[in-house]
Order: sequence, then C-alpha cells, then structure tokens
Amino acid sequence: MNTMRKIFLLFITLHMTMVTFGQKKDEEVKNDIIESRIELFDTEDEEIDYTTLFESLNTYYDHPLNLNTCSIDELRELYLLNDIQINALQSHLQKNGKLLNIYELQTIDGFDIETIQSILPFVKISGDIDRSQFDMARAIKDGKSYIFLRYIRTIEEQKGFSSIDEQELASNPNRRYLGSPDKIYFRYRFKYLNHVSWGITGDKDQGEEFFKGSQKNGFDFYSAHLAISDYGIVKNVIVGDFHAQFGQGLTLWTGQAFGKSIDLLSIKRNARGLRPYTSVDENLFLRGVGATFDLGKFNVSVIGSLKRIDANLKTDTINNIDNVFSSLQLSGFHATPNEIFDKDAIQETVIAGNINYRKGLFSIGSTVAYTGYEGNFERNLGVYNQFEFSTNKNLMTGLDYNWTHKNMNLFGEISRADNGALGGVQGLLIALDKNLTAVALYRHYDRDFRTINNNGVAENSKTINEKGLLLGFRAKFGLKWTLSTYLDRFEFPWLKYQVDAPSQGHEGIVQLAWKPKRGTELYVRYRRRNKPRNTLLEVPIDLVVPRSQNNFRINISTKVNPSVRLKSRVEWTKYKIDGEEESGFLIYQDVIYKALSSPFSFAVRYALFDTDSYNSRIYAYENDVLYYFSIPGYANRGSRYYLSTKYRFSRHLDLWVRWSQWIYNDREEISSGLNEIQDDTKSEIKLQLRYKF
Amino acid sequence: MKIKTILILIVLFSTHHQASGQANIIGARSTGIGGVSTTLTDLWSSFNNQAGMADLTTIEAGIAYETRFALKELSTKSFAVVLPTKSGVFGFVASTYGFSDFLESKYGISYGRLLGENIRIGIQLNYQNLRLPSRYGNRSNLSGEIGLLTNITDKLTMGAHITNPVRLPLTENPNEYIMSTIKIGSQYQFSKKVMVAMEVRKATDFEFIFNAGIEYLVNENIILRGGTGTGPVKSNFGFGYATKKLKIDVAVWYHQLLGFSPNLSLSYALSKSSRE
Repeated sequence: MNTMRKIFLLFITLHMTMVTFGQKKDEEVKNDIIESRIELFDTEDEEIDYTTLFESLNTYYDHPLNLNTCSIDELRELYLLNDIQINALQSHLQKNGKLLNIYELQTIDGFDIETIQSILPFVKISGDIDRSQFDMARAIKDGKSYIFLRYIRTIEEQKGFSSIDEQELASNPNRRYLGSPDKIYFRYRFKYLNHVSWGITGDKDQGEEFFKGSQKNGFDFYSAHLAISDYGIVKNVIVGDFHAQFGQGLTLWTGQAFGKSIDLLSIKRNARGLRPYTSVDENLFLRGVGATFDLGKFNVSVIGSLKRIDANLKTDTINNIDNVFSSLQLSGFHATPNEIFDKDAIQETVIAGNINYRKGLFSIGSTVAYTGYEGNFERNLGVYNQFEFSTNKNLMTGLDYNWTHKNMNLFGEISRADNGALGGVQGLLIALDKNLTAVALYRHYDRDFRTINNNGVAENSKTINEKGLLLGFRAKFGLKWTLSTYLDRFEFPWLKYQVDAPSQGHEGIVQLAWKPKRGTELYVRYRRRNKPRNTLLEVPIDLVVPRSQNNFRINISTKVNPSVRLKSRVEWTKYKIDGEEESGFLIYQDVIYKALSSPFSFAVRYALFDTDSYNSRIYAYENDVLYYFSIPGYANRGSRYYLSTKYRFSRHLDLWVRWSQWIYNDREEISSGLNEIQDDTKSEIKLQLRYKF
Repeated sequence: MKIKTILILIVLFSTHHQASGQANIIGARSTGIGGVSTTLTDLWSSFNNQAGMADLTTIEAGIAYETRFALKELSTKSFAVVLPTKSGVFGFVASTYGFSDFLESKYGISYGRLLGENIRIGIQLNYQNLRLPSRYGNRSNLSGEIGLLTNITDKLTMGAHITNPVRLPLTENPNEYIMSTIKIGSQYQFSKKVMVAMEVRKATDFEFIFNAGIEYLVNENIILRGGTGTGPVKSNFGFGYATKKLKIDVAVWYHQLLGFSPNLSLSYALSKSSRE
C-alpha cells in the first residue's frame, strides 16, 4: 500500500513541471533569504544585531538538513517553517515514508512554493542516515574557521572629537571623547557543524580608547566561548558567553527576539535553549557555564553566570554604603570618563534552570531564574515607575507549553516574580485552509512584573504594565495575491514615562502583495498606530492625549534578470498629536547587482526624504556589509545615497567597502551633544574583511 | 502690466524652475497625460528619462514649445535629436526657458541602451546656464541625469529617473545648489489602444508630486490623452496625430487660478534605423 502511494506521489511530482527549483549553490542566495527575512520584520530599531539569530541558517547552508531524518528542533531553527508545517511534514513522512525528491514537498499541506523556495538552500533529501556523532578528530579536521575584521568611521568631525581648551576640558572632562572616532570590530570563530564552536570577539566603539588609557587591553569589549553539542547525554555545554532562551521569553530570555510584524510567524517566540554568544551587545548576555542534558523525553538545563555590568553608581552619604546604583546602563559605550566610571560597576549573578518534557510536537517546560546584584538597586522612582524592579534580587518561576495538533498550534507561558507579580502569554496559530492562516495572541504583564533578563512579546519595550490582544491573518488568493493583516489592541493599566494616566491604544497593518512572477513583488501597506502620551501644550495639568501615526507605503522589488534587482519605495506618514499634524515623505530607488559569474557585487541607493520633524521620520532597511544590519530613520529634509560593494578575492577572502552619505537641506548642524556635526552632510566609510579557512 | 510682472515673479519663484535649471517635463505627450514621463519611450525620453531612448530605432528630431499660463515670458523651447547606433542610442538636447531678465538654458548629451536582459539604462550630461542679471549675472554649471526602465510583466513597465544625485553648488553661496530630483513611475498597457501611467516625483526642498494619466489610441493616427496631478493640482488634456514618420502632439494643462498652459511638440523620423 505504501509503495503504491509512493509511486502515485512520484507520478504526480514528475508532472509538476510548472515550478522548477533552481538550487544554485551560492552564498548570496542564503544572504538574500536572511536579508529578506530581516526586511520583513521592519523593526524600528536603528541597529539590531541579528548575527546570533541567523547563526543556524549559516550552519545549515554549509551542511543542509536532511528532511528525512532531521529533528523537529532543527527544523524550527530555520525560522522559516511554523509548527503546523513541521507537523504536516512529520505526518507526511509517517504516512508515506521517506521523501524521494524535493518536488514531493509540494504535496504536503502548508508547503507553498514560496516556503519551499525559501528552505531549499538549507535542506536536502537523502535516504542515508547521516546523523553524525561527535568525534574530536573529525571536528578538528572538518571544522571551519573564519575571521571578521570591520572598520567604521564617520568622516565629518563630531563635537566629541573636536579640539578644546585644555583648562575647559580639565574642569569638564566629559565634554570630549577619550578615544578616536574609529569603530573596530574583530571576530574569530571556529565551527564544526553544530557540534563544536569556539570564538573570540573584540569591539571598540566610537570614542573609546584603544590599547591606551582606560583600555590597556585593547578593545573595550571582549567576548569568548567554547561550546560542545551532542556528546552523549550532553545536548549542549557552553563555557564563556552565551544566550539562554526558554518558553515565550517571560522568565528567562537574553538577547534579541523578533516582535510584532507582518510576518505573523514572528509573534511566537522560538526558544532555542542555550546558544553561544557572538554579538557585541555588551550587557544582555550570560557569562559562565551552561549545560543542557538530553534524558530522553526530558531535557534539563542548568545555568550559572557571573559578570560585571554597567550601572549608574550613586553615593549614599547618609548610610555610607558603597555600591548603590540608580540604573543599569545598557548602551555599552565607554567613551567619556563618566561612562568609564559606570563601566562594570556592579556584579550580576544569574542562576537558572529549565526542565522540559516533550513528546512529538507537544512540550511543557518549567524555568526558574534568579538574578542578583551586588550592592543596592535604588531606582530614582517617580509616580509612573514606582512599581518597577528596584531591589537587588529577582526570582522568576515560569511554566510554558507548546502543542501542535493537526492544523493548530497553541503555545504560551505564565511566569511569576518573587514579588507576586504575574506575566502571561497565550497564543494560537491556526491554518484554517491551506491558503488562510490566522493568529491570536494575548499577553498580560502586571504593573510590577519584572523586566530583568526576559523578553516577552509586548508593545512596550519591556514586559511590564501591559495587556493586549493581537489578531491577524494571512490569506492567499491564487498564486499571485496575498493579503496579510493584524490588529493589536493594547492597554497600559498604570502610568508610563511621559504618560500620566492609564492609557490604551492600537497598532495594525494591512498589506496587499502581488507576485506577478518569481522574484517580483509589489505591495501596498497601510500601518496605523495610536498610542497616547502627555500633551505637548503648556497646560496646568499634563493631559494624556491621543497620538496617531499613519503610514502608507508602496514597494516594488523586481529581479529584472539573474544578476540585477531593482527596488523602489514611496512612503508617506502622518503624525498627529494635540490636533497638530506633521507629515513625512520618503522615496528611494535601489539597484542591486550580484552576478554568479562575477566576484564583484554592489548595492546602490538614492533617496530623497522630507519630514516635518523627527516624529514623522520613516524607517527603511539598507543593504550593508555582511551581517551588519541597519534600518535608519530618515528624518528632516535632504537626500541620502550609499554604495555598498563586495569583492571576492578567493574562496577564502572577501572584502566589503561601503560609502554612505546624508545630505541635509534644512540644517547646518546634525545631531546633538558630543555627536553634533557642524555641517550639512554626514558621511560614513565602512570596510569589512572576512577570511575563511 | 504690473500684475503680469508680479505673476511672472510668483511663478518663477514658486515652480521647480527656481535656481534649478532643469527637471521640467518636456513634450506635449507627457503634458497630455498629467505630466507623467518616467516610463514613456519616445524622442522626448532624451529629456525625461534617457533609459527610454534605448527602444528607439530610427533617427528622429523634434521641437517642443510650452508657454506656461500663456505668458510668453514663461515659455520653454526645446529641441531634441536621437541617433540609434549599434552600441546604443545617442541624443542631443537643448532647451531654454524664460526671458531676458531670467533665462535658463540647457544643452545635454544623452545616451540610452539595453544593459543586460530586460533592463534599459540612460545617462545624460548637461551644460546649463542661468542668466539673472539682477542677482547673479551669468552662471554656468554641469549636471547629470540617470534613468532606468524595466518590464515587470508584458504589460507593466516601471522606471526611475534621478537628476543630480550628488549635490552640486550653483553659486558661491553654499545654500544655493542645483536641485536633485527623483521620479519613480509605472505604466500599464491595458490593450493595444489603452495605456495608463502614473508616477511620483520629488525634488529636494519641494513637496512631492503625484501624476497620473491615460492615453487612448482612437485609430492608427489619432491619439487622445488626459491626466491629472498635484503640485499644483492640475487637469491635463492632449491630442496627438501620428504617422510613421511625423508626430504632432498638442496639450494643455489647467491651473485653477493661473489658467491654461498650452504645449506643442513636433517630431520627424528621418530615416530607417542603422540598427536593424
């Protein structure tokens, strides 16, 4: 019976000639997929380090997953399939036996052409059982190393680097940066599949000293790790710097996570347990030892971390206690004497554990995480933030689950802090039809819920004082049209910064996309956000008034031939508060050239922007050097262009050079404080070298 | 007379001509469809988007004339000639705008060609001159333009055109520079007879403009056009007569306060192409 089915399937797939899958083996294909994912997230964060998030795609690109034998976890790590699709694949394998070829994927529910094309560079279909066990000799022989070197500098002189009278500087030492304007980044990494990884990263930010003064050791920030996976019952052991991510992020989650976006999948946190840390965020990670043990249906993780973090110290003269701090500093900049004073001011201890039970696509887990600070945390409390974490100990306990049944995926987490505050997330992803997927997500964070070493889905940047319900769906009409939308309604039961009353609002997107042919997409998108804040008017009482933001975007991306892609965008925005309306406008044209035959590739943009102020700024993703992602806000009036080039000297050596410039027509000075530039242009040069061996 | 002078001054300093010298749309065909020009492929592509020249196969020359708001002081006189060769289409353009006390002139060499599969590119180098005796005397500058066109489907074309991507100074005053512009447009060929086009245009320091229009071929020779747009809000109408060699286009656009601006353009294809 099974054989008959197989023959029938083979027969069908051989006749599916309408779609051909080109399986070009080129790194650019992988990078295109990573870029297009990031573009989709459309974050409003100037610089997010996605390096760690897309680590697994790099691994599976070099060593494709065998769809016939790989685990559910491995499929999840692609970030390209949802649990319903994974479930469909698993039941297809159970029912029909191993996949024969890539075309057979088309017969599986939920695997549309787009999905298949996006996973193709990272998967293979093979009958072999090729799950490799850890072998140190092979690791050394087959492992791969690479070195990254990056240099960035702003050309125009910023105030922090300009000359200053020595006496004035002596009395105001924070009026200038200590070091040079260069940003330097270094990274070495060794990797053998997913089994062994070690590496070291060094980072010098703008204005920091280098091998002198406060930075005798060179870089301001160093990070290193050694990780081994799949060794007997040890699923994972990491010494050094690492990330820990469990459940839906409420109890313990260090590092970035995707938030709300038109890619409805990103609403769900995809916890990856313990992972080596290789980014340059100087505070949000763990340093110590972490291990996960695979005990059949149970996975047990233990974590111990001890590191010094930046904090704003204040002197308690009354009780004469040292180590009293009013806030944690997360910027990672150590370029002025004040910043250096705050650097590594206190010690943070994290002790945590997770136990997870799983059976197929059902899992349930429990996380306990303790964070302790040396010294006393005395936040400068106002009325609005009086319930925020302001002690030196935090204990969180959480329970999470994830269950997929047929076309439905339910997930959630509930977490309790030691002050009794609760946080909870409950989500549903359902494939109502192969062309219609819907999501729902409810979250609730008490006004005194904790925000230390966690990262749950929220409208605010922290998991506190919020409840909200997000509803969305994605509908496909034929092969060419897709309608995606969500509406998120949220409520802040307590006051917030610059919001002197409980408030509520909403945020939502409607997007209609048309794909007339492969490689070409046109979409129109309307986005609306209403989030109240205090009036800007001079009135006796700071009334909370509505503040709305409406964006309308037209985007065209077309691959005109195998080596050239054109992208055009026009976007309008309206920002309204106190009855005053501001507007913004952005238009740009991109040309991206990547030919398989040529070692040279480039991306160029020309943009004109015109916004009434910073409030009506418009964010847009920019092509940058590999693994550097920038999504700047275009604000005020002027033009911008960049030229980003790459040259491949050999299989081992690549060089990236990028030049970009802002030209303002409405101002003679740019930025403020120590970054102020007395000019109407701001230019940046970026060089990056990668050596693989 | 006084009113007329004031009007001229208002217009001079409120349209895109201000200290810019270019980026105006040339040709009565574009004017007829609301001022949309990015995706059109004809002789006037040599002014409006040089990538469009890549499609031309015969030597062709033409003149265009616009009197804005029917004021002869605000007239633009243009000339264009294109020469298709085996290695692309070359063109020469010239235009003048204004009168003795404010005269802008522009001379450009343009080049358009196919660049790889399904992508046409065009560039232009201009020498331009601004004569404003009361303020600057005589100023001459170089400026550049670049354009792209591609077919997204058989029926849908899109294009982009940029002038002066790098900001060039106009005078010694650092605040006076040649304007940069970008326009992105698309056109959809509903049938052999009906075409719809639209574009968004933005110049530094000016509000963006949205234009849209329709072209309808009544028969082989007769073409009707209509369109509308913003910046300022306008209504456009046009009429064309075309034979294989001769094209005559007339158009007017209407501004609610300032009235009609008539346009006329004539072009003649001299010979068969050297590029079969």
